[in-house]
Amino acid sequence: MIQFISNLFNPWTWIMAKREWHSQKKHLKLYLLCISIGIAALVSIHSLASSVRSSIDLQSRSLLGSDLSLKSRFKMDEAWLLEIEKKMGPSLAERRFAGMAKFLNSKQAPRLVQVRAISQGYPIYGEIKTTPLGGSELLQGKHCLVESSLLMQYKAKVGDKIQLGQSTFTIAAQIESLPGESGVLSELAPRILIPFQDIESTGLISFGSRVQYLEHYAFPEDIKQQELIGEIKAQAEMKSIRVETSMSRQERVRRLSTNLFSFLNFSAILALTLGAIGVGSAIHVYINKQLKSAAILKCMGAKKSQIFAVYILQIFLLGIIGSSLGVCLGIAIQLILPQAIQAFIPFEIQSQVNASSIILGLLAGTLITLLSSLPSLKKITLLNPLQGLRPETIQQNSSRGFNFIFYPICIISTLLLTTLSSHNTKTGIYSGITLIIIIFCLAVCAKVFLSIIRKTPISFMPFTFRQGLKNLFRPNNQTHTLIISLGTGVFVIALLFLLRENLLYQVRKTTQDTNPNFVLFDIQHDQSQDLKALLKKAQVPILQEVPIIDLRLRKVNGLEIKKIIQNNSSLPKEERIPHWTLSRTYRCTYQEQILDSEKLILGDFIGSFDGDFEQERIPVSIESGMMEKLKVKIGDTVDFELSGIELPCVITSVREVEWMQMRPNFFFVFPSGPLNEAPQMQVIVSRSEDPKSTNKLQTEINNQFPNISFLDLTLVIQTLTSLLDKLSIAIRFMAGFSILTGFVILISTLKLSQDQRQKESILLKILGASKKQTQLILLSEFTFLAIISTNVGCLIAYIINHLIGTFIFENSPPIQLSILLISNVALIIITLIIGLINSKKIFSSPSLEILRD
Amino acid sequence: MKQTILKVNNLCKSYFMNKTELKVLDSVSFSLEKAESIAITGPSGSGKSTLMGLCAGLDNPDSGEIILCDQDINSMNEDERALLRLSQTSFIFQSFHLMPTLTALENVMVPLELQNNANKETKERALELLSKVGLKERQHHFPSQLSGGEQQRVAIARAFINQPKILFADEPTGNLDSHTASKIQDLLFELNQQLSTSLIIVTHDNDLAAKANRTLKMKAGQISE
Ligand SMILES: Nc1ncnc2c1ncn2[C@@H]1O[C@H](COP(=O)(O)OP(=O)(O)O)[C@@H](O)[C@H]1O
Ligand SMILES: [Mg+2]
Repeated sequence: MIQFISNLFNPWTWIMAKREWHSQKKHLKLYLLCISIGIAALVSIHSLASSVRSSIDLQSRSLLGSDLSLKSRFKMDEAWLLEIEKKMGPSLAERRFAGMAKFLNSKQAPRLVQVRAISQGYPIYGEIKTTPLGGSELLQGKHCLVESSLLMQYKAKVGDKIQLGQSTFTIAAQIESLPGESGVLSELAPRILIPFQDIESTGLISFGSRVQYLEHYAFPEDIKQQELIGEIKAQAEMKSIRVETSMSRQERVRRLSTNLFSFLNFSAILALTLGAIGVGSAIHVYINKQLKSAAILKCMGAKKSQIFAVYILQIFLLGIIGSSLGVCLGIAIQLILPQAIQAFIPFEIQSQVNASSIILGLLAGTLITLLSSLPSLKKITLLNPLQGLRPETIQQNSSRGFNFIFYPICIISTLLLTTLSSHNTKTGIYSGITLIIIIFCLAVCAKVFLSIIRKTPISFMPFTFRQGLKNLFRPNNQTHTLIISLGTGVFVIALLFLLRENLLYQVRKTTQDTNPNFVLFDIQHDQSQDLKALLKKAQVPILQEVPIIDLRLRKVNGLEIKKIIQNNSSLPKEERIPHWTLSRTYRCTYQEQILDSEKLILGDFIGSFDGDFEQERIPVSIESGMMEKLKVKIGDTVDFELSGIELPCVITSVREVEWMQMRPNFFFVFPSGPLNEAPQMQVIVSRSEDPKSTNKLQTEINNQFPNISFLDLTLVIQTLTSLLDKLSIAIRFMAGFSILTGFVILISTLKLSQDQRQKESILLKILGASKKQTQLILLSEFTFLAIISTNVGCLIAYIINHLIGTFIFENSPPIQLSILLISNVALIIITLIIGLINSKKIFSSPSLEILRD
Repeated sequence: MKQTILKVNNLCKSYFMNKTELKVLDSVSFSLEKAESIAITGPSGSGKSTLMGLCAGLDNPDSGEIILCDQDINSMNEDERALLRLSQTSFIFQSFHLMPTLTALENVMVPLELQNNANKETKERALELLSKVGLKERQHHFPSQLSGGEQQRVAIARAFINQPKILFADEPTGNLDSHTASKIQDLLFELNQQLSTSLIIVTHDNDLAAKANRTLKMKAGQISE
């Protein structure tokens, strides 16, 4: 060991390393590229993640817009609010509700928006960014602020008028950003801000409408914040009011960005792993080329450790230079990356260069280079000189003992790397394991493909194709590695597109054929008859009509909710009943029959009940998932409350709900009878023939019943599509890294095996092969390579996509062959181009030079 | 009646290294009859391999004429030359040059495969040639699994499969021990007799040179009998 280290610093080692390095200069560039692309991906993502994290910390207060906010589905207790006001100072009130916005300058149908009525002075911290500038200051006297996506859709501009409910507003500005909110979901229900005092005039809040009540506070200077927050939280919990503080919001945003980044990070590590495979194979070929000189050195009496030092030195320098390049590239990329993910991040990202990312990049790069060169280095040390003079005779199978050490080291360092680069250990280890599994599957799959091809009798093919295929198996070939790296690239991209199609398929399925394509909600009891008449006139069927009643849970099996919450804290985590199931508002319905989109799985569904529920419990049906969460079974009792009246119930049946169907679904369904006279709202689900008639109907309903909200499911699908597109930009960016690495590996391996290929071609030429034949052999070699890689990658992508469809959406998607086809064609073309450029030299060399001994 | 297979007239070839001219062939002329064998000897670097390459149309001469099987090589394009090589000539190298991806049998079959007339008989012929060189049992072995002498015997089988009119052998026994070398020599001349193939052999081996009908000596790019 000491001898080895002293050798490392021996001038002879450096001179030898330099000489060999010099002779391989052209190829070295490619190895450097391989490693630096992977490192660039890692560094850019890691450093972006820490920029985002520090931006979150810097902007923490403005993420919520206040120090503390209360949020409730019900009007909050006035007396309690007054009490809080005494401690915290006055609040700024906000209301959020759905409404249909009609642009008066546009012929397009109105659309569903989220209206937010805010008080003057909100946000307390941060600002609402608008164009023209002005923010919440502009909200005065019947003016409103409108989301830019809406303005775009209706081709409206500042100064135009919008009708909201029964009132008309002038657009004062377009919203650029709201404190602490990302723009992603805004397309589903775009936001319109109006002054608080104008709520009344819209007439959109009436009994039964879905309204969110919010109160925003700033902490007074001299106050024990934590105590006060604890106190308010405890009281709010009992009242089912949500409390959010700037700290908890910060935590939430941080979690969101961590999730996003663990995904991006995963792709970066994937690219890096590919880079490692690439470097490994490049070094393998590099060292194989040097074997002869190593053998000659040995013949002349060089010691094992001396030779080892010469190569270790080269590889170490390669690692350092490659990772430094990668770090520089990564930092450059980090400056443009924010644009790809800004849509998902609810605040401005301040890019900054981060020392830990740089260190991580250098460390990872050097480590990976050294690690991936181990198998080849081992070969050098074990080399006996005689073999070295005829390198093609050296067997590839490495000793078993070495593999026992090498593979665990690889696995451990992969896990180490994923853990170091992701923000928390668990995701790090999980993504590491996923990565290893994916690569392992690809490797096995590639092996199987190759051995099948090798065993298939291929004599029916013309000679040129056969020869091309056999070239894949030339001694010391890198075919397996190449297939893994290209296959992984294809896998990532294919899976991305497949998942996108899968998701859209799942959603589209819900609006196909006879399935509903629009939903009307917030229908008041007394509007129901008139509305139905209108629908009848427009000749649209009522596919489903459901009453909705908001209920609160009071007791489960006789135990008060408060008690259950208290008990919860003493139970281990798995045995607790989730808090949200206890404190939420249950939107319930009553039905004589079970709904179309549901399936009875246990017990009897009781459709009507005319008993007296003060003596007899009402038989209700529970959804299967909720049954598990509340930890109840058939025969258990639950007590609900409806504006002060207790409703004692007993669970008599369990239903399974297909949530993917876009229909109203319910956790609890009551029998017809007890709730029929209760204050309620209605939801009508229907289907119109085409977009034009949907449009017309929408306008008509909006004119006649401004409070009824119209949800156009086709629009939802459109929105979802554009959302997925936005998301896939970020993902594609990362997948691009792995594809790019794949290609660099392809180029470098082709370059490295160029000599061999050139020799073969010249030989064929001497034997009398025409240029066309030689060319065909080379091209078919590349084509086979591309075909195998694409199909290995696609196969695994298809399998995973199918598993996701079957187990997560419970609906296996149709197999989309177009992606398979496209990726095959694309990869073949790209491979051929790279291959052709590479082989140009082969055809341009006329002499026997190449065969000279 | 004598039939001329190869006729070389005033062949010149120079290489330029950093603008200094290196005259490798200086006005070389000779001719070769059907079924005749010629040995070319001469010190290393005297231009023997270059001459062979030019004769087989693998490179272009600066001046001079090469008539191979009644055809002027200089006036042919790449593919015409390839066709000529495929049908009329064969090559044997000092360092064998087998295709590493192919088995012995497949290597032997390559020239016919390139002609697109590989069929059952081809395989039989290849096997016959392999057994003639004593390697029938090794037909499924790859070059890396064969010794030097064995590889060279495969190369010889390959050289004869297209029944060439002329065989170029550039130091065919240079890498072999004397025992194996003499076996290879016998094989070459045996096949030369049987198939009346003209032989042109570069060699440093006096035994081998003696077996040929004629010996040409090369020195500094010039040829003498
Ligand atoms: N492509 C080339 N470029 C420059 N010099 C060459 C080239 N090919 C051969 N030579 C030179 O031509 C001379 C003759 O080479 P060669 O025909 O191989 O000799 P021989 O086979 O008789 O040993 C040598 O000096 C060699 O250096
Ligand atoms: Mg020579």
